[in-house]
Amino acid sequence: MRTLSLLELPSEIISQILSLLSRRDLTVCVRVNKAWCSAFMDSLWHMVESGKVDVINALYRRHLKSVNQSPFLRNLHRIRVLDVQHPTFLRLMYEQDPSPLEPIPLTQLSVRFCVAKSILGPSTGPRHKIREFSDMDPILQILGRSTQLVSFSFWAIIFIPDLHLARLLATLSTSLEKLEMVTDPKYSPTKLASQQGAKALDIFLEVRKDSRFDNLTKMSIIGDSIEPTLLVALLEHSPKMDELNLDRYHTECGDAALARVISSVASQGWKTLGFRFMSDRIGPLTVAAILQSCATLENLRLTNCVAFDSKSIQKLLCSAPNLRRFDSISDNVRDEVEHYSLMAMDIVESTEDWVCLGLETFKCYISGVPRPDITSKNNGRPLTGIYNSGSRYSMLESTRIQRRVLAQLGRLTKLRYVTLGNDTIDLQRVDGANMYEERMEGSYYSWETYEMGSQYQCLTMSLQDGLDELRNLKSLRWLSLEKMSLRMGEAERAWMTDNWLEYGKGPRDTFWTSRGHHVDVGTDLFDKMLHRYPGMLNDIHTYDWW
Amino acid sequence: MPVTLTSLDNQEFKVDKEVAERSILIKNMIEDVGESDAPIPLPNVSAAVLTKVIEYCEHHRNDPVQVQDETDDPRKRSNDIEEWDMKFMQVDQEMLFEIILAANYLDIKPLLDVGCKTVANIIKGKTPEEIRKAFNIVNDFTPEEEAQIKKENEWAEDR
Repeated sequence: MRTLSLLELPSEIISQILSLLSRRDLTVCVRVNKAWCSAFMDSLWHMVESGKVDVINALYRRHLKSVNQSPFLRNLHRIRVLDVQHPTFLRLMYEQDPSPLEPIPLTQLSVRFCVAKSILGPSTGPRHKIREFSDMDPILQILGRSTQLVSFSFWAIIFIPDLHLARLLATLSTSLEKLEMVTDPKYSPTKLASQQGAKALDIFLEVRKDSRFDNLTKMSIIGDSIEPTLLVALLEHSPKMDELNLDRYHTECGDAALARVISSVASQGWKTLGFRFMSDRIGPLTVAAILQSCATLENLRLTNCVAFDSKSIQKLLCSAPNLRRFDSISDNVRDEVEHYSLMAMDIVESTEDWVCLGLETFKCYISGVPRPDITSKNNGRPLTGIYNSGSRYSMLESTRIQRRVLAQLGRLTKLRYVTLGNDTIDLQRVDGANMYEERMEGSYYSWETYEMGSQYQCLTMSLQDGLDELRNLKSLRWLSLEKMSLRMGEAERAWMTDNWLEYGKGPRDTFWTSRGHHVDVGTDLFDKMLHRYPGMLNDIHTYDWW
Repeated sequence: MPVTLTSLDNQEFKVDKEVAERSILIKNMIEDVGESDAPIPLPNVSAAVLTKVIEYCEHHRNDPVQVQDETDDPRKRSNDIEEWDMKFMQVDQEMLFEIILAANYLDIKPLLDVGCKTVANIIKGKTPEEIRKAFNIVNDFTPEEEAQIKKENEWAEDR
């Protein structure tokens, strides 16, 4: 009887065995014989990560001059995931004829635009000098051949002129689902960028014509990566776009331009919007644009967004029926929480009820609660402000106001994760959170540190003040009340255990993470969380937000 | 109630239902047919292999059902094999591949996983020559060809 060989196993079993081998093992496997070489070569070249293309080319120059092409180019048809520096493309272009023929099966491409010393010559100017972008053709050629591209991201520490960017975006495949544009804010010469805007738009429209990005649903923009009119054009060519994340998108055009961007995403039935460090750009027009078209909105994150004030939050909760996640708490432990708070009086004085009855995650400070029971801060300084000025509010009125607030919250029976306090224990969320924890452990600690993120005009969360209004939150798993002036005791704890059967079970909602789109898997904190909630990884994969 | 399984070479095996149902294929067949004394034909599995598979299922009859996602998570994926399974897998290569094929056909995921891990462990950390020896493979490369493939893929060797 003939002996069965490894390569005769079904391909899915071979893939399973492959997945257990390191890439180093694969480099050995391809040397076994010709059959093994062809069976394992694709896996070996599946992913070429940052810096590796340069290694490949260096090896090629040193050892393989007899072959007429770099192994990188010869194996390009095997690569699915590629992370490469743009100058490397340039170098390949200059040294060899890249024979632009058949399509490339790349699914994920990320390109780092940076300065290539060997091409531009040694840098003589000061280090921070903005450098012009040189040649676009090689990357355009690769993109033009990548007809299966699903995810494209670039990360630029040099200035990419709008004309180049327009051509780059216009060349992207219609298979694209996810686009990330990151420009280091230090290298964002916005004036130059906007001067070219109109011309860039023409180029984009001319190349793109009627060909739309029918699969593009997620976009993340960090820094001044793209000029607003071009962004709007891109969004208008992306009818399925439902997730937009803007982080430090500090374009010169400001509020009005941003409002146009929001309107053009919203008009296509968006689901997700995230802002981070955009406080100085978001004004009344942007806020109005969000509120006008929040009918389909499911996830909204407004980190450090002062313009989206208490009245806007109240309006949103009263007019976004599909909202599932709302997050307006600060990313910075040094911020005054009142800047981002929903004020109790705006809830109490409103004639409308909250309509977001499917809300699952609610991260929002609720402030402005009269607290006649508190007279001084943690550091002993007296509390000031209208709610604490003498006899203006009685304890009874304070209780009445709190009950009204909690009654609104208590109607949202789908709630699973609620954060009313400063979220210092969220995964990596708050800048300086680690510092805060270290200080709490006693090595270095001051009252001022402790004051950061503290809330005084907040809900007491006591049964007397209406905690029992939350009795119907049967799905509640997590309630974070960090640094709030609470009046909770054993009675409240017992009540929570009796009424919230899911409480304390299951993983946190990891939908929003530090940058809105990745979790630093592998940190100690993460491992601790994972140990406690083994299902968390699964949750992250489910909710992975670009 | 015991279940009767018939191998490719028409040998009959009587096993407890609980043991047989480690195989999702058999479990589904029993569910579809309902209570029946009729033997279940397994035309893809020889008696020798089926004996081994039943031995495995007997040993693991009380294991909890595996959660689907567990092995998809690369952090949890390791090539560690329990001692009993390691001993169980000490068979000649023909049998090893046959067990893997049977586990795949019968849909016994834990056995398939152990089989794949065993093969991966044979490959791991070896030189090409050692792999050739282990799998009885003839090298059809010229020394120049092999040297070039080594150079061409050297970039991937650090991980």
